[in-house]
Amino acid sequence: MEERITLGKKKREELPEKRKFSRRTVLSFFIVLIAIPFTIWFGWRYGDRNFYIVSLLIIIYTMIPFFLVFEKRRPQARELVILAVMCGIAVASRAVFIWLPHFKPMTAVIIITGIAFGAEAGFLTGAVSGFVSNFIFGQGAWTPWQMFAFGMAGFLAGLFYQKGLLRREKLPLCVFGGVVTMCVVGPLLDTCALFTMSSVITPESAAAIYLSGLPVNAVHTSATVLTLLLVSKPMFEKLDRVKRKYGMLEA
Amino acid sequence: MEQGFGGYHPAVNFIFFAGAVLFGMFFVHPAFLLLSVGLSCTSYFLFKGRRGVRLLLGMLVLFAAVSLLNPVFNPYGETVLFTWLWGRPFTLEALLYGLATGGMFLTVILWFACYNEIMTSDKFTYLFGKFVPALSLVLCMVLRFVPHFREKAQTIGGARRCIGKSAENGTKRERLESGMAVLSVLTSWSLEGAAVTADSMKSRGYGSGPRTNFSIYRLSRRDGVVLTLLAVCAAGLAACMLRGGTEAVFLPGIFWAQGPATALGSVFYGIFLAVPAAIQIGEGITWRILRSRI
Repeated sequence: MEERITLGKKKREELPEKRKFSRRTVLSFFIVLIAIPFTIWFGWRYGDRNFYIVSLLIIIYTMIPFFLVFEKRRPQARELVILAVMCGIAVASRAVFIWLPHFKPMTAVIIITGIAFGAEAGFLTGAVSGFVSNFIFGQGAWTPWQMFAFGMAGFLAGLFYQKGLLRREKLPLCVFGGVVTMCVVGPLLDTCALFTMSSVITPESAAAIYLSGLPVNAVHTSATVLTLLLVSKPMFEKLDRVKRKYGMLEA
Repeated sequence: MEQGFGGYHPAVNFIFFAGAVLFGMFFVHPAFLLLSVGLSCTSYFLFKGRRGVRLLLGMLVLFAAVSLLNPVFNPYGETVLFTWLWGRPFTLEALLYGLATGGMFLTVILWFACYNEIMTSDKFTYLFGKFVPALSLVLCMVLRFVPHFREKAQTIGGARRCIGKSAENGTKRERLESGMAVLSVLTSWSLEGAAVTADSMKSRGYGSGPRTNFSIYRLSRRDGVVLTLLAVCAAGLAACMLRGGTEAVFLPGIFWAQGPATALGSVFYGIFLAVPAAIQIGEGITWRILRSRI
């Protein structure tokens, strides 16, 4: 259990801790204190239905620090390939269950990645998978929302595991996966639909969208829970084995 | 070589679509909405030809649904058309606002449909490869891995069929478990491959210097002309917006800006959005003339 795999651990330790922290903080401060309020003000001043575009821009802003921190770290080839493989599996996993309509194991694969490789890798896997799957199904105004929602699933999984709130056991994993899919990923995607399709947001319109999203979210949740139940143990074993056999991800 | 608007530099393509989508999400003024709906439909039809009609018809149904459902959830507005269920008012303002929302929805979807026709993934990675080299490399690899892993999954499924563990028959539970087994095998196989790929990359010197890019795109004079045109139109549009030319309020009462700022703004907007359609049509005419000379 202690031998948790962390992507690019050495690289992170090499950097002086203080400088890296401050760069991220400066960027986050800029986004939270300047970019987001300015966008809200601008949308409120010059646009009508401004929640549509303002929410989209804010979602994009919040993802930028993750991507920039990853780039600044100059990740090694192994990290990149592992990340790409996990994204590829997450996207292609849909094809394995093509006979089961709406069965998407993607969130489960992202959660497993987040736990095995840490919160940052979890976020990136989720975001890149969301982006790539839209190359197949078509990009749209929903792309940033999906990237953010799936990224959050991976990020939260990594964070909870790091903090010791989540263990690599079936029951906690399934509960966590179910709650995250039902209460984070699903509602985020519903909010995107709400902002896209309603002219004013009233309690009734919000209720209509979120209620109509419930069945879809329920199916998505059951897919995540089932996948975590059946496949999480062998997956973790495999990730550990690759680490032992090739000495990957610990160097 | 790609024809028409798609043959222009990826930066031109991307900047146009970013502008069209951002403006499309921003303006609810009816004149601007009519322009963007009309030109996005035209562009989509020009890019896609007859095959595009089906999506256009489907989108019209969605547009009607969004437009008519919105007033149901929106009780505000001054002019009551009729009341329904428990005396809820259905107002003219809410209906118009719903139409505007539906138009916005339609136009953003259509611009994205055009984007999907024009901006292929190689153009995207070319554009952003310089800013985010590591992530765009990941993106490239994932785009290759997805079809590759699908083939691998099929191979694994075939091998399992030979030992009588086909995913095609059996109870739902058996099929589900069989699918999970395929997923699991796929993971170990791909991770094994990843180890080899990473070692190979490292021994060929990945990370030892700045990455260079192979690209087949060149910023030519016509790209510069179109970029300048787009920039001028966007600047003019922004100026008209700051003067209040795009203002439109639906609730509680209707106010739509009129006057020179609106007129000028819609001219700029129209020129901006007409760029791909004009290029497509212009190229079609040139081609016809050239052919008639043969």
